[in-house]
Amino acid sequence: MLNRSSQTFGECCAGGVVAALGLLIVMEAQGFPTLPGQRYGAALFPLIIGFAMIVGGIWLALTNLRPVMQRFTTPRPVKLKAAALSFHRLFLPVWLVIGYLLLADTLGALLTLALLVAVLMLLSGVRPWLALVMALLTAAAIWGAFVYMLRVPLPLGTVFNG
Amino acid sequence: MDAILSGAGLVFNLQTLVVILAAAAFGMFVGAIPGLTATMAVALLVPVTYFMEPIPAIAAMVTTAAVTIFAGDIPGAYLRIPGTPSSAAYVDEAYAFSQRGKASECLGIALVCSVIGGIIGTLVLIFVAPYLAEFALNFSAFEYFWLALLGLSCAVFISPGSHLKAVLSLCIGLSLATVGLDSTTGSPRFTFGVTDLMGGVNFIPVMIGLFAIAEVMRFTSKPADELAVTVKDTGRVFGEVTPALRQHWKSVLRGSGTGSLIGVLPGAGSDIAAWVSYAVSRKFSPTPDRFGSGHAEGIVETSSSNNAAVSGSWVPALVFGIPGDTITAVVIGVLYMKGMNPGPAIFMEGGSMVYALFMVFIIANLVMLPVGYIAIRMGKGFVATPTRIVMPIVLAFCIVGAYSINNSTVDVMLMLMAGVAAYGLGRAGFPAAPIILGLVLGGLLEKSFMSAMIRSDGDLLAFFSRPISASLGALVILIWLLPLLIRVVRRVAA
Repeated sequence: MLNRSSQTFGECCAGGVVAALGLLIVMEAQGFPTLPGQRYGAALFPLIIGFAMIVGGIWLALTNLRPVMQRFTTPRPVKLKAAALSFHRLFLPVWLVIGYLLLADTLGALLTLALLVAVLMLLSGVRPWLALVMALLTAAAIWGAFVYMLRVPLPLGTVFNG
Repeated sequence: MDAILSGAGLVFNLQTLVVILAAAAFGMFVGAIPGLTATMAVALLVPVTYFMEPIPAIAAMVTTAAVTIFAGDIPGAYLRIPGTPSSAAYVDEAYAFSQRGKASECLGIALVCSVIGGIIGTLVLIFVAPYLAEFALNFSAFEYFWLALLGLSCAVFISPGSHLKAVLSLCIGLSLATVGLDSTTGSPRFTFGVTDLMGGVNFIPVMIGLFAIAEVMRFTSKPADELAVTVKDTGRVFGEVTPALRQHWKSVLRGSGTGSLIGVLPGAGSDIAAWVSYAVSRKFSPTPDRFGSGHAEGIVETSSSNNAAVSGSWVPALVFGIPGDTITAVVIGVLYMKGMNPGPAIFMEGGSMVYALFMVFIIANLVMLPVGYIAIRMGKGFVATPTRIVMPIVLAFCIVGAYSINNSTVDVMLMLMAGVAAYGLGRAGFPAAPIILGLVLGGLLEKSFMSAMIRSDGDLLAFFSRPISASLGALVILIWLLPLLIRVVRRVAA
């Protein structure tokens, strides 16, 4: 469970981001064309949503602003190493997906998927032999289901296929 | 008669039956693993169903949804952890029942009641949907606008948690739905010069990101503890079903009725049905003091209710194209992509497709019995499957699933962005369900809104000029004002 202070900080930031997104929508929608002979057109619906996001986002951010300010004015020990480790663990799936996108065309989807599964299992504490077996089985199952049955052209890779 | 036989031909063929069995086994596995939800099961299945004919595709998703909701009871009985949110209402009851060394008996009761609830919900669909469809034929853009808004409003205001955050989640989904060519003026919106965005945001990668990638990120940020089953078990799955049904048959019927009714409400899903039915069961029980100690009455009523709600939620989804919950939102999205637009016309034409749909719903619930029996016998193995083995496999399937829709890495990136955003929003307490509902319903909402505006020449009072439209509008306004009214009433009462 998240502690309350962290949750409040998250709410404040999310409120700000949503409000900014709303502002972007409103600004972008200004240039949309209207219907002939009418004052409204393609911009009307996005404008309503955009304004709702601005108002709601600001409201959410402001209602959580005081606890966040208190959090920053109260000195607290910062555990940099733990924070960095936590950040790294959190974004592990993101790095792995990006890794897949970068390597699949070269190594092929089969091998890249096996690597991805094996790496995530090993880093999650699965025994190496089990991680290897599961990785190979997963990649083979995906290859069988998607390439042979559903005819999805997953990348074959240039390393093994010239 | 020809239509019925033709419908049977669409269902009783090897491909559809194998798909139903495979979907049931998949749903059972996903539901039995704590932390994996029914929506996630359907989300992972969508890329596969994308390549199927409409009936096997719908069969796969309906079966998965129904079976996953029951399978969520398995870890509840063994570990006191609900497999899906729909089992949360009676997890303590099921666990207390299992503590007597009767986990299989408890799950046997839940299984049979889930099947009964699911079939009663399907009967509601079969008998109510055609009448509603006939009624809906008179609907114009005004009524469709209010109906879509009613579905979204229910999703926002009936669900637990902050209403403001739910509204903002909904706005995010609606804003994503505006990306692409505008249907009224034909001009591109929010495409930023990217050609791939002209057709709009592909909802499948977004959905996989929202419900699967965010879950994988939650797992890697805080890996779950190893699960161990300590409950002893006799293994007599159907041992206590007959006495429980004989004693509590009224509860089964009431739970199924309540669940079907709540399922029919747009935006309210099986988890809400389960909570309501558990409370109703306790309220009207002759032995309310036995609740919490493993009383069969609560399990009977609630397990029939949540599966009835799954079936009931298909009524607004198929008749109006308004999703009853997140699962039906996903399915509606797939139906649109396949060119099979849900709406009253499906029922009014009364073709083989409608009969095939009804048969699929019944088979999906019946197949739960044998598959559920096997799953209960293997239950201990299922629930103890470590998430550190499951989640990497889920991640691999997510990538290939998102890629396979258009054979495009852009969709994989879209999935990743949706996943990261959903994780961040989830940490701040924003629900993910309204985002997908907004994305799926946004097109209908805007199209009906703009059509109504053009017809009325911008006169907003016209939205209340027709009787049904005015009633629906008043209902929507009431739902939006409900939190305020409740607060005022509480203050006055205090």
